[in-house]
Amino acid sequence: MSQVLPAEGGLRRVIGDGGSLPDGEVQGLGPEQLLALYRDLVLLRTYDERSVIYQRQGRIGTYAIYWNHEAMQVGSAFALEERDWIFPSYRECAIGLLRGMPAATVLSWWRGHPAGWWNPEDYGVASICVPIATHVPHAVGFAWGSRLKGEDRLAIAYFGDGATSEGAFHEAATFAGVMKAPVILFCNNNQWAISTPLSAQTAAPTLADKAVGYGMPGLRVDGGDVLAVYEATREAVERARAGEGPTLIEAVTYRSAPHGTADDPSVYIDEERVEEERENECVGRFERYLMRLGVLTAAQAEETRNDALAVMREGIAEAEAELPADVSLVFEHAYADPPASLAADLEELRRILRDV
Amino acid sequence: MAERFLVEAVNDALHVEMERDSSVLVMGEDVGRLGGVFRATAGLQDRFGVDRCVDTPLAEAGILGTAVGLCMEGWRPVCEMQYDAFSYPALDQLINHVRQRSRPTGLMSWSRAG
Repeated sequence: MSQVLPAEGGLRRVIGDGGSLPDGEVQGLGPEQLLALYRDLVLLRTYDERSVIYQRQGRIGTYAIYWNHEAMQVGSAFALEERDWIFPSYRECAIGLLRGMPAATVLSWWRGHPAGWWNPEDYGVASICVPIATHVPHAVGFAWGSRLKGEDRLAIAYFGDGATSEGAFHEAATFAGVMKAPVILFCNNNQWAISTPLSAQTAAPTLADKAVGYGMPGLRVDGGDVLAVYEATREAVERARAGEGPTLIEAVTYRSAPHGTADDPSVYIDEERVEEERENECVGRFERYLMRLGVLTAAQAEETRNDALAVMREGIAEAEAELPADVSLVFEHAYADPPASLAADLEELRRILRDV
Repeated sequence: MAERFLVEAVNDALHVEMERDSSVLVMGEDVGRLGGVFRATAGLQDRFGVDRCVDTPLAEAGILGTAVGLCMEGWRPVCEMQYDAFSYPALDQLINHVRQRSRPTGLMSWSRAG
């Protein structure tokens, strides 16, 4: 039996504050990789900011904002190989963009259009899971299956702090430990499950502490520090590839935007704390780091933002150009031989839609 | 046709399928060493090994949930939960996820946006 290590207490950090807190560096990341990380961060940030605007304009439906979660998504995904699979929650809806998925696909998903249904096999990105934590066992099963086949590909599941209270998380982590599944359980702890704070979610001192109970290491990292996230995930990837099984990563941040476009956090959140977090948001933090290093100029940053905006402009135009799906789709794929009552229901639905 | 108990027919079918298709695996509660509390999986672990007849933790949502992931990796898992009353914790996986896999879109859980 391998020894179960206690989870980490402090948060791993690489990026300094430009003052008393010194900058670190990650071995193996040169200017080219650092700029690639920056482009990914800006792309996801732009996707998120534009999506809130599109939602306000009525061009997409309700949207789960991930502003200031980009470093957790980009840093961890950067540590993976293309053959590894990503199992996202709704908070990572656009993570497929890092794998070449068109923005139009994700925007179509939020428009409730079937053009937003991608084949997971095409990108190594599973479908967005909206129920909480129920996709975590899928990632574990996938990774377990990969190990049984002797394939060298692993899985990562993303979920929030609230998800760690779910039975599905507990069962998945239990399986991961027992089956020595090459999986990374990545918790983006933004300290709020809509209006429920972490203190009402668990009595555990940290979420990483839960790892001990499943017989896996628990790492804790500053979720706003893309390099620290990358380094911690790389360590988990190396463990998984070496056949040493799963790792739980707790990336800690503070939710600095509403849960979603239908949420009003002013009734429950500490606005001052939010303001503090927004000033230290993850994309700006990395941008300033790169400028201190002399790797990024203001002109390059501007160009990167403009490129991302162009991706979004094309994406929304493409999504809006899709013809509306026929409502018959709602009734398909459930029965090999549909009962007659379904045909009547479809007719009724068509009549209602004609009348509105 | 040979007459046999239903559970013997299940056991026979599992042997035949696992022989025929190397992606079929049996997983669940007491299926391996014991061969199932009703003997439905008797002999499978001896014949096909511990990786294809797997004793799992006692967690029904975990059994069905990881089976979904195994399917995505190309396996054809057969899940054992012993009693019908044991299976209800797995209904969430069945309703939210397994049924979505039958859609040709490769889609899971889109309809549950709340």
